[in-house]
Amino acid sequence: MRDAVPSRRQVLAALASLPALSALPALAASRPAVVTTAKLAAGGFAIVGLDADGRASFVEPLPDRGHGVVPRPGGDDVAVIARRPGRFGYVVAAETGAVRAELDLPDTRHYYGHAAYSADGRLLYTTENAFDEDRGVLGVWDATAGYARVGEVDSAGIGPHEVRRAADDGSLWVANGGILTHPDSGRIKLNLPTMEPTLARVAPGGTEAERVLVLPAELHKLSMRHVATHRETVAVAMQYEGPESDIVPLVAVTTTEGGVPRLLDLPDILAMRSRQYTGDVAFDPTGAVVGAGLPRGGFFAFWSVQDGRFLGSVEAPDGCAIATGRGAGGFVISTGTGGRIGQVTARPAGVDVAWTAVAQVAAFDNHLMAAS
Amino acid sequence: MRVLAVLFAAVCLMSSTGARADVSAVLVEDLVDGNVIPAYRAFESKTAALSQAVDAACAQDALATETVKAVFAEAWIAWAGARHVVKGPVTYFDRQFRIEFWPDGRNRIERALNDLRVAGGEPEIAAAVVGVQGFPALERLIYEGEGANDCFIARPIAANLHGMAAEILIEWTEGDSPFRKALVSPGGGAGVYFSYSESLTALMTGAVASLEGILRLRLKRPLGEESGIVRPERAEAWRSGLSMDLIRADLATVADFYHGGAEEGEAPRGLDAALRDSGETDLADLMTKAFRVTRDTADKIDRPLREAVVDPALRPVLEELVTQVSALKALIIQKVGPALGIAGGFNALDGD
Repeated sequence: MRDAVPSRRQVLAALASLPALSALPALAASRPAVVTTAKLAAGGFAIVGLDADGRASFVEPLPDRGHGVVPRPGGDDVAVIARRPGRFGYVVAAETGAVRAELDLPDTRHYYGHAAYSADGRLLYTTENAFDEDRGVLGVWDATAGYARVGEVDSAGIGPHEVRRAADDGSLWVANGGILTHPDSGRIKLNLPTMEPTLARVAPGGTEAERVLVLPAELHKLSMRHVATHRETVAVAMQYEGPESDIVPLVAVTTTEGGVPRLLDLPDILAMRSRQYTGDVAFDPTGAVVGAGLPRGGFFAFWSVQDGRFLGSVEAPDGCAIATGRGAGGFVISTGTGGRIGQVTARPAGVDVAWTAVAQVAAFDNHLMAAS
Repeated sequence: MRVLAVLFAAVCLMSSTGARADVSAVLVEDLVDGNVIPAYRAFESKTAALSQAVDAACAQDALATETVKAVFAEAWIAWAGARHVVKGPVTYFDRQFRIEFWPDGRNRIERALNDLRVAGGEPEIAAAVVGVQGFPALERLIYEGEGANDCFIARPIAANLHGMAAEILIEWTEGDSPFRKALVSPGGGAGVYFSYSESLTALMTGAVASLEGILRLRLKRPLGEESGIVRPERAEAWRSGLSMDLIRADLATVADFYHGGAEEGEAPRGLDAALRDSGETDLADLMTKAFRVTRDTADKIDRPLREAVVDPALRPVLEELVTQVSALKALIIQKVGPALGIAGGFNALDGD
């Protein structure tokens, strides 16, 4: 069913109805290093800023569960988008989490969960379902005009989930999952036999998406959902919609030129634990290592980009969110169960993690981003 | 409405004892042998009868005979009795969608049938596009088709439905590594599940998905709950008028699944027994009552959904059914699962 569009007044009411935030421990005043969404220990959902030590620098309520968070380059805005098929999108202050703008979504669209800014920070792109037309779009919003909606770009596929901007040339990369849903049917998948996932690219300043990667027919049930880029390398994290007994690759690495993808494998025992499902993907700062969160398997996995070699895994109950960390092999990860943040170092010699518990948080959500 | 309030209050207020029983082999066996395999046996036998009836009618230069309609209804209802099983052989080769491709927002079925008519000659149905292989396609041929002229398509569809039903049953029960074994001997040869808890999760996922399907697809779409626009032809199987019978079959099989196939008056089996064994008697009593109340409500809707949704007198009953199915689903996810030691993660169940 379509969610009602929460008005600003409803949001304020939702905030007021939440357990008093003043009851939380005093928050550190430091600028957040990481922004993410979460379910709070005190109840309700929030956007959360964390400092480099994993302490909460802000905790601001959301009317419902959030999903993608994305910082505005060169600015101090962070956009946060509702979990699919939700209809709220906010822009908050990176320092405090205070709401600065609310995205006014057309009735014939709902969000698919993620957003990306243009390189100059002027435009925000949100993945959306044009459900009455059975197609996916990127909604385009002008940050310099109070986030007015200024257009749409066809996503060149059904079910665009994540959109990410490539740091080098500013192109946008869209993972089209290929799965048709309709708000009337919630998340029930309506077209698995005919699904066609695609990875598409919008050139810098471009007004249309072109398909860069379409998997071979025998892999057409690998739904491409998340994407990360490092210079000319692109990683795609996938979810398999075929029989549970199949062992399939879940992460593909390709280039911005759209070369033949390298499919990354897991050791068999982890492949079976994975339930054929990845939830997030990121590169380390050097681009030499790619990592993915596998919440159904309860672990994160890391591979060498150069040769596709599996480097190791980190056990993490319900862990999904992964982002670029500090230093070679560095990643930041979080867990759904237990509300922990992990600092990972993944190198050819092995994978290490150091965990910090965040008291205010009951469960970290699927994604986190380094605040700019 | 008072009963609903009671059910919902129960969902909200019942405190779980927190005692988590280990998932037992007996529980998984009850569910598989008491419910799943019997459901597939019925589906196999009813589709065999359907294929024979279509052959017999076509041999007499007819298709839409009363016999064919009756057997067609029984076969589709038998499918509804098995579609709460969403793991295993039914997922191989897109069988779920081939058996019933629905909803069909783009009218793929109509176009595919017309393509077959234009092409002529008996089609290789198992290799044809997905929309043309199952009950909704056969329903069109029987209820609004060209009679015996459509036999060249109807016969292979019916035969293919029976073929898929037979294959699913064989893959569950026979050979060196039947899917039954993957569930009742987790960690064994089939390698899909590693513990009884995983087996149970896989089975319960289907029960929840079935209730979700009743709510989202089968009731709310034709009811047009949010938009306020009633859409009778969004009801499942509106051409044959089987929509409510299919919902009743869904509810019956989820209830049977919960009870591990135990009839009323028999010793508890399945999830019901597992709850009682772990001291969750109140929850088990509530579940039994919730199934009965919900099925009684469905029984009050005495005509096809296509007609019921436009009848103001039945509107409150349909809304009551929506509320009760929602409550059942919430009880299974929030109470039954955790009481038996299975609870999904925040992200693991998210699907994003």
